[in-house]
Amino acid sequence: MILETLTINNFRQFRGKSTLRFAHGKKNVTVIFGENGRGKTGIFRALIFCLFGDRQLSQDELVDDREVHLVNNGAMRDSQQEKGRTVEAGVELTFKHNDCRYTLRRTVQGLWHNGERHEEGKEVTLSIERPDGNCTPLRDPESIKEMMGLVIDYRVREYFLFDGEKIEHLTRASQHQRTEVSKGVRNLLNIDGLEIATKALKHVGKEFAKELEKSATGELARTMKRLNESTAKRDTFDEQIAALAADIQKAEEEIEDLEKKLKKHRGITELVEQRERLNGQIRDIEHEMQDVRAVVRDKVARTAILLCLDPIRSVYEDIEKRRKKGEIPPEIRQDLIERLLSERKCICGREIRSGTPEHTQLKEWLRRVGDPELSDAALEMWRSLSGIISQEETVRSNAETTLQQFGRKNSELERLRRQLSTVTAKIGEDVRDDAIHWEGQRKKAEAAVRKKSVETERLEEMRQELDALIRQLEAQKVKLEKERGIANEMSARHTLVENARQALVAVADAFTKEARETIAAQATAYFQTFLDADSQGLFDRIQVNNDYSLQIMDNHGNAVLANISAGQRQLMSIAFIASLAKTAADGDLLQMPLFMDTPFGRLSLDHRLRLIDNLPKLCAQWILLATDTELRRSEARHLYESKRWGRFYRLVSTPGGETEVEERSTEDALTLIREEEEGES
Amino acid sequence: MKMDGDIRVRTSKDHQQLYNDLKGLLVKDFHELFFLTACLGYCHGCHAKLGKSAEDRFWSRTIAPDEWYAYYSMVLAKNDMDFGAVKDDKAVIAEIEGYAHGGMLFFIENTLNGYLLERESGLSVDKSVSQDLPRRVMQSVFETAVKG
Repeated sequence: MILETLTINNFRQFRGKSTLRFAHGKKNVTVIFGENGRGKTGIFRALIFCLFGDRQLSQDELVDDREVHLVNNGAMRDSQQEKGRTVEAGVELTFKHNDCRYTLRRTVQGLWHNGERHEEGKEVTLSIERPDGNCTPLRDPESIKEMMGLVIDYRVREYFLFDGEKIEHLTRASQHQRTEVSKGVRNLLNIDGLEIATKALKHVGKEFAKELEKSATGELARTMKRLNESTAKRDTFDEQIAALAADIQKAEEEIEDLEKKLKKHRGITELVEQRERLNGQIRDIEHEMQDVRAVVRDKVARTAILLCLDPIRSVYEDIEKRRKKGEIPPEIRQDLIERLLSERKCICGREIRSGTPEHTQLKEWLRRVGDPELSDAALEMWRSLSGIISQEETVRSNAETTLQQFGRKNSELERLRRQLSTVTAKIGEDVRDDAIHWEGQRKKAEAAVRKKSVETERLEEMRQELDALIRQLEAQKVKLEKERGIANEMSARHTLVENARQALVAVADAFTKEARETIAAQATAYFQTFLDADSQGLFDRIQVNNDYSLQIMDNHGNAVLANISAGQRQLMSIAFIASLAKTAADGDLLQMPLFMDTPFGRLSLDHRLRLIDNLPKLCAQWILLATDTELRRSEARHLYESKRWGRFYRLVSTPGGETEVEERSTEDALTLIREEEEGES
Repeated sequence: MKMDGDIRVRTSKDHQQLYNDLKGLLVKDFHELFFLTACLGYCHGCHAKLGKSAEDRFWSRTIAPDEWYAYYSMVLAKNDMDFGAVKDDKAVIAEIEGYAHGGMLFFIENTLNGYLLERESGLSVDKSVSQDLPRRVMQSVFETAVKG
């Protein structure tokens, strides 16, 4: 498959129609360049959507399918004004495959219903134009899927169309993914045909064996009977092992699925824990606030005295004045004045007549002395008011402190409640219960995998014993036939078929082993060319395991995959893909594009330059979706000088927040792409 | 000025429920609420006659000495420091009841408003929003005392 054009219409950030033409041939590199958020992944998504109908990319695994919108937001917003109006979005891809030109078109329709946005797939069409000019149009989605499966195996799509930062997952994929990929790779290497032939021969051999049993007599008949029974038993074991493998795979898929949900939930678990912590803190603060409230309740009446300090001070000052004047307590006793007035005699014996200044003075004294009880009470009051006034500052300061304390606690409480509200909103409803349920299911599935794995091992052991018995019985059968001089056609056919089957199994095993070794050797060579000088001496070889998972060995024979960097893992995965493509194409260039989103994110400058130098020679077409931090002027210049750079597209944002595709020459690219900033490498 | 403990201190019967609700929530006892409202009434110049709505609320023996001195001071200040005006504690309490009633009306209007419910039995505190009331009252008293 060689990609020619990709036309997107109202898809994601791209309003209206935009077409990209991909470089191929001698200049086989296309760069789609844009800053983050400009829609590079939108183009990758458009390609995946068009080829397979997938709305989601592997990086969307934690996003609900319904949350991935394909129809352009601006177009959708405009359509909201007109009731019932729909917006059509679509992607059209043209490519060449085995001398035919394919035009694949897939559309999706967006509409508003009851204020909610909906999207639904509309149609998919495929047109195949043959070299003679004849055209075959297909409209049935199933036929199109089948036809596309012949062009690119869905199971290995991520080998050719991938996110550069994610491709390192090839080195650590789950068991299920590895099994799927292994099937895809076997298909790519055409090993499947051998397996089908082996199965067919096995079936024919069984039929012959049944016929032979019918015609045999005596010990040969008994041997044949045992042989057929054992073979049937072995088939039953095989079926049971296959059923167990299917169960294990199903359980592993379930575990994988549950882990995805739990992974999504793990963030929520942290939020739930945070919520519990916040609730605890809120409870503590509320308890503390209860205490502060009790303090407030105890002090509020006491504080109210501040409101009547003016009369208190006035009265205090008045009594103080009177006290200073000697009116309170009276300097002269009331009874003495009364006696002097009634006797009209001074204490010196002089007569005091009424109307004289002395008489008036005594009268005034009597008035000022007043009620002695009241005078005592006033004096007592004066003392108490003095105490109240002296405590004014303490009461004021206590009130202020209590209010500040209350204010602090209250602010803290409000802050915690706001946090709680945010966290609760993030958590959503019933998620915790769901997670507990999922965790339980995961444990059950894991237990099932363990149990079935043990059962599989037991059955495989029994099968091996049975295999030995079958070989023994087959030898005995041949011996008996020889002894009795039996040489009929049926027996000869049976032997021939069985020998052919065994030979095919051996061929398949040898081919698979050889293919793996070739892929590994080639991948190792590519990997070494991608690595910088410092790293080249560190690794001995890449190893391709039976299930096509990868391992890398150091010079001392140690498996070091777990200890290499993510960038090195990315290079290793790319080396494996390039090697696989070369092996599948029998040494030629496999006619498949390498479509890479974020190709250089994890790579150092040296590794980037090495990839730019080598990868265009190893694949038929290289399409890069790069950001300004990945493809800077030094990388661009290097690519330009490699003479492999065919086309350059820039994704430019419009004032409306959408993206336009702008084709520029590769010469222009050198001026448009920024220089590295100081300290950047 | 004997701090007579045998006087029945009266408040408006319209405020009976309020007295009950605020005891324990805002103050420890009736005499404290009475003191608070009396101080508010004096401070804001709110004096209102109880009239027919008067109802015995608590005994004067519960009134704290400092509260008595504050009451005597209010009455003395109002009567040009004539100690004759505070000779009779009943008269003092009667005068202060007027301040407490006026103060309570002011309190309802300016502070309790928003924390109250109107029921058949009269005004009562809305318990669902009363948590912050003590702080609000203290804040208001404090600010009045500081700012005047």
